[in-house]
Amino acid sequence: MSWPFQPQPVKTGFTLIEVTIALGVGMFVVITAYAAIRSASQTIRAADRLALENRLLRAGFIYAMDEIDYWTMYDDPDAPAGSTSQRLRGITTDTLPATFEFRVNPPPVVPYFPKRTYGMPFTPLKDLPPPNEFADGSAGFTGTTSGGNGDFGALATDRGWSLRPGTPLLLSPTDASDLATGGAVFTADRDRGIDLHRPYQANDPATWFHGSVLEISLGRRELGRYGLFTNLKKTPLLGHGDDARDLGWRANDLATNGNSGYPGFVKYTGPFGQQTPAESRTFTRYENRILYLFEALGNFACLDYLPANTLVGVHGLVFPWQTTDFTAREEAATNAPFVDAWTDPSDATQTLLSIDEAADWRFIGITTWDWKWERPDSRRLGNNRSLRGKAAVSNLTQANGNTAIAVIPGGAYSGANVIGYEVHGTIDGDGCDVPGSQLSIRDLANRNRASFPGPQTQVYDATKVISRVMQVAPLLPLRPTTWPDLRLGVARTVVNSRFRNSCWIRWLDQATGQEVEMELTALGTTLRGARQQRHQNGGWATFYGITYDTTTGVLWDNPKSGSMSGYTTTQNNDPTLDYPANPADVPGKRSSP
Amino acid sequence: MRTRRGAILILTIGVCAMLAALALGFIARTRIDALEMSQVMRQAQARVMLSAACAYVLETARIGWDDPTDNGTPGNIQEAFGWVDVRSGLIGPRDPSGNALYSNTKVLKRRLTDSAASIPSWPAIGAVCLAPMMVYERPSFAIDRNVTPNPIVNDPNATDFGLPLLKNEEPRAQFSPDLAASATVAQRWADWKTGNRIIPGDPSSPLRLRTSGDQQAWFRLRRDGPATFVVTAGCGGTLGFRDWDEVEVRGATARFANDQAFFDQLLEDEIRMWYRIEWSPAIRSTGAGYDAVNGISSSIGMQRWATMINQAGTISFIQRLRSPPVEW
Repeated sequence: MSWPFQPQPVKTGFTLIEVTIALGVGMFVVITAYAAIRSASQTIRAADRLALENRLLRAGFIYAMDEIDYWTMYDDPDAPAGSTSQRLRGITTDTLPATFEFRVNPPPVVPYFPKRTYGMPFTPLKDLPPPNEFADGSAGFTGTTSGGNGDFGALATDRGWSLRPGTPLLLSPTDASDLATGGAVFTADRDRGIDLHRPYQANDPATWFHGSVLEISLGRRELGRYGLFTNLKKTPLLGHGDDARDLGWRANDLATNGNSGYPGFVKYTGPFGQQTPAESRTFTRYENRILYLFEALGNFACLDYLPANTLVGVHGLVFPWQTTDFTAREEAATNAPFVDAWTDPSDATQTLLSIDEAADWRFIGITTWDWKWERPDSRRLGNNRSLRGKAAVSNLTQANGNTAIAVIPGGAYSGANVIGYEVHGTIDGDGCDVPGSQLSIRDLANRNRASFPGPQTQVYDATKVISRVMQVAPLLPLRPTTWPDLRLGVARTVVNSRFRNSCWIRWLDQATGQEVEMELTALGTTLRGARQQRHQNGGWATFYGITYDTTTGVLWDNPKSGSMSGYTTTQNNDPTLDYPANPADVPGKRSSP
Repeated sequence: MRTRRGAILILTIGVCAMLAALALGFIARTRIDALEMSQVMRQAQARVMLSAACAYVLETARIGWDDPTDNGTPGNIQEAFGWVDVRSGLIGPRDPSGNALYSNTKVLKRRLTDSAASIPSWPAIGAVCLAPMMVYERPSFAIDRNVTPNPIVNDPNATDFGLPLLKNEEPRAQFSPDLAASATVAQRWADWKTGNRIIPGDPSSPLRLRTSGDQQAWFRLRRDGPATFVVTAGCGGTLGFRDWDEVEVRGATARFANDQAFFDQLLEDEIRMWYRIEWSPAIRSTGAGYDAVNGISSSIGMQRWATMINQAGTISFIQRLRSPPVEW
């Protein structure tokens, strides 16, 4: 018998236990590897997302810095004229009755500002009437024949008080003579508009407010009538008390020693009347230059262009007033700190009620054209509702946290077009919470002459004000929907006695999906600088340089009118928004020693 | 088994390759981020230089013109009264006696090959001022960075254990580490006052600048009018020299290893921004606020009405220039 029991060949294989263990270990290895890959991948992805977030932040920062310097969200020089991106170049004109009827007998006929034209922060001055149209045209002051942005007289031989840095503040012989004998041809007093070569200077008396700051519009004139010395008009009408042109209510006020709990605050000061041109020694350029600046460019520009701490206020403003209101609110005549002519030309009830040109009016809160004194639903942006006549900002120092002045945007990124920011209702019923709506040019002009009281006064809460003064641009407008969003918000305000360029960069946190916002402020181009960046005919203006002749004291910037020493004719500076229609007019107005 | 070992090897290599690829991508991304961030930082630092330039214009409207060599004589500390003298309206800066602290004499050529000088010395109109921002290791009157000069003793055996005693003055002066412990009060004062600053006229005075970091910020001013300036704000290695011509004219080639290509490379990597600013003597009111008459007070106060002026003044406008002017 053979050995039948042949050894069986060894069968290779795994036992169930081996397989189980092997599978387990294998799975462990694979899962570990997978986890490692997945973890690494997720880590990289998270890092990518964080990196993307950082890139968004960087991009937003760069955009913000560019916007700080170039103001393109407010006014895009490359946009077509008249487009949404250039709405802050708009112009509003009111044509008022040529004469106003005084409520007194006899009713004098006074040609008060029959036409008022209002620009905005980026309106080219060439598109506005020359500043002499803003003058009163009263007798004895007819010498302004400017066709440009300011008549500054025959300064080459008769400079008057030098406004240009580098020369003493002296009266020219001619002006000194005029001042002594009757000032009808007081050359230095002709200054009206913006002199590019003698911009508003701190050492220039034409930027000094002369008035009783203690009294403002409320006082008893105990310190005198400053309106006699400097006024919008060469021959101001300073009537009071027994003057036939006075309304009479002051006498009543005197009898009761005041009204409304303010004893004697409109004390009787007696009649004064009106000077003749020969009698007049009244200076007019401060008021007219300030008024021109205010009407040409608005409230923000007044603080931007004028030297720091310049008080923006004038003597001689008169204002139309509704008769019916006045009878009930008599104090309005001297209290209303208002710029005249924001009135409804179609309102037959408008009647000029006060001709008190001695009063000091401050450019503070402006109203809409149907404003009313202390009306419960007052639209006066510069005053709160509960306090009588609380003045708002009339110079930089007074811009506190509750009374901000801002450049009010009107472009595609403002108002109801603000993306991602709630527009809180409306301000003065302008309807800008309606999607796609925009402020009208008139409303824009109005808002750019307003100051915005903050939360303390409870007129407009902060969010509402911010939604009005802020604009927000999507920086990735063409992004796929799956991409993160990035937005830039900008607001330019005057608050707490300083100019403030605020930027908000908002993006989506790539790790959490939350919206994140970073706010920053930065030093950059001012409004005047931004206007000087822009060509008066559209596009950007190129600045090549200026020369200053240290021997003659003449400053040249050759606005397409010639060449300067050291510069070629192709290096003529481009005329900016502050130039007159014909840049060649500027050298003729240039001061000389 | 071989197959399995091979599979594992392949799997391992694959995994490692994927991890390496991810890591490489991550590192590359980080590198790109760093480069981009560097540009942002340079932009930010250059913008800080705009603030520095404005501050310089404001401060030098009054100070910075003293000649220390004549300070032994009473009244010989020169101080100016504005870029446009606030007393006379004449071009400044001028000393208390009204003498100009500048000269219109041309002293500097634009290029070495120019036949004559065309640029006056600072601060005359037309002159240029370079201001590279070098940080002293220890500035004058430096304060010790020790924020806890009077720690509470926690040794139970000490007699002042647990007592909050003010045994050392706070803040404390930061002296030179080389100052001997036995230094006299006068020596310590001199050391603290000097820091690592160069003392004009003293070749042995210490100057130690912080060398860390590669973000050299600088600004450059050209006075183009009585009160107007072209500001060039930059961040990079050129120290504010306009071009190689200026480096040569000012005798500064050694700062760039006498190598124009090196300077040009620094120029390429640099951020430069041009602005135009105007100085004004006007300041905000610091006068007392007044209430209106008759008790009608106003929370805003009522300041003086005339524009106040002083030697320091304010900046009345800033304009970013889209391209450099002809002269800057």
